[in-house]
Amino acid sequence: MPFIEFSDVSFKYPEETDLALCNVNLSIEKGEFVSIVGANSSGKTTLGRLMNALLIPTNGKVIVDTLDTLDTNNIIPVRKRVGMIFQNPDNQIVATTVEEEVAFGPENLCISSDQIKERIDKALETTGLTYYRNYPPHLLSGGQKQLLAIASILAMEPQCIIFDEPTSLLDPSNRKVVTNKIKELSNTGMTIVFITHRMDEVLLSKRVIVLKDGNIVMECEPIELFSMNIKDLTELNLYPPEIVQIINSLRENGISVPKEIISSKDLVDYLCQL
Amino acid sequence: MPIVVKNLTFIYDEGFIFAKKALDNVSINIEEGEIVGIIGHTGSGKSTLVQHLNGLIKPKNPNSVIVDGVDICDAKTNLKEIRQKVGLVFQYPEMQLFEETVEKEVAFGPKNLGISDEEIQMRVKEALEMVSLDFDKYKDRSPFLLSGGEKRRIAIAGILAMKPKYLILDEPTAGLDPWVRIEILKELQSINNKSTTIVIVSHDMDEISKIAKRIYVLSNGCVALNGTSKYVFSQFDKIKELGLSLPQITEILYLLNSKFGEVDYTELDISKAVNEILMALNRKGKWKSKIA
Repeated sequence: MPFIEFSDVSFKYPEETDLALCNVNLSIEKGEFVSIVGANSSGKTTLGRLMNALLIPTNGKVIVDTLDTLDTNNIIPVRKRVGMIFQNPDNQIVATTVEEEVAFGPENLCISSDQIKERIDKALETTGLTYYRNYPPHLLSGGQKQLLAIASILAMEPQCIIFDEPTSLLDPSNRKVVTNKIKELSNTGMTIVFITHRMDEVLLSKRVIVLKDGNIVMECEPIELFSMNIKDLTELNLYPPEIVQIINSLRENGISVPKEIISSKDLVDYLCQL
Repeated sequence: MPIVVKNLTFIYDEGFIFAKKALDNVSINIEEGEIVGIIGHTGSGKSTLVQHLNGLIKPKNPNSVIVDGVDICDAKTNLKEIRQKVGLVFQYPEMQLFEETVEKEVAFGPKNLGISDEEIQMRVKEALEMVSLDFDKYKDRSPFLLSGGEKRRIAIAGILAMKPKYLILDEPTAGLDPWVRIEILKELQSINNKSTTIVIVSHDMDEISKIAKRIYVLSNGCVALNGTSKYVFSQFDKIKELGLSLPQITEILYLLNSKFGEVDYTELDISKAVNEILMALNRKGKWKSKIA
């Protein structure tokens, strides 16, 4: 039984005429790390929000851990299981200190204060924010704020976290901090859904789902995307990183770069041993 | 020299416990008609620096920021004039959209300049055109119901309608998808071709390497590197030491050069870079052109 299952799901926003998602079938197993890519308004965010009942399907069914999100009684249990991290951490930070921010979720779960304290300690430790416990969140860097958002979700002890472009507002070094943390969480068995428009970040996951105009147009191993030619990628509305463009050109010139090669270093090593 | 910044130092919350030196003796100059990139990681002082360029933050010492020969520190300086001349597009400018329609939004700036309604409408049309939005299609729509890329463009158009001589953009493509990003960069290039000087703040090397001819790299409030983009990206070790990433293209060529030698790793154009790689392989007898 998959952890998250979409059966013929369509979704339309009330003010729009077109469907944002169109007849989507999808299943995600417990402990899987799946990434979702696609251009703006391809339906990535809508798909993510259907997974924790922030949105309810217009047609079809979303089942999370055997719970149907159409049943309003299931909304809170679904959200306890599936946490969501947004693009901009400033939009979800509400408290005046790091500790209070992390406490906010568990405080609403009717658990004892000892348990709350325990969860805060653990969440801060996991995200490396213990030192900043009494800091006001606005004095943290962008990457630290995103880690704080992650800590607040971890304190709810979800089984799955959806990351909706968590790094797109961060600089390269902060981006690395956040993606490393996501990778670590995945290693502990957490189910991860990672929405991004950066092709290089897709490589963190085991499976990638490509959306275009509200449809799933491709599902594959991330490495497959990198071995596609530029024209096909462009048709999927994906923007190939420079290295993919270079490898593509080299192939056109008769150098058959193997598809496992995805980093600058690997490429140069390959060229050297030719 | 149109915009000259000389020995500029700025400390946030000076004298308080959280005091932080954001700029430390920074000197830069922006020539008329060029596209200049300012890069550096978060907290390096990029945003603080550009907020000085139109007097949003006033320098302490006279003659540290001069725009077209006018010292913005001088009590006699008309800052309104400076701000019309130096248009500043903030980070996430769509957060400051507030009007009911796109037309009113873009007209807001020029309306405060005391010019005629016809002139305002013309400017709004022109500004929207510069960011590839059709006036008739968008003018009556609410800016809040547009996509992220469209909102960003409306915000940029709002500044363009002021007809600035210098356009300063703080992270103009952050948070946008790669295609929208490329379109906006193309639009900026064509705005520059029509003689508007552009300063772009970014931490995306791939992006800045495509558009800026000259680059300042900031680190801890100081200018750590400056020169043509070719020169700046050739300083491989220094850039790494500053915790910045290089354009992927530069990284590949640099690594190849360290193995093969004689590779021009300052090349930033993809097809020329591929050519460099093929030539290097050819010299080592590892590849032969089919055409030759």
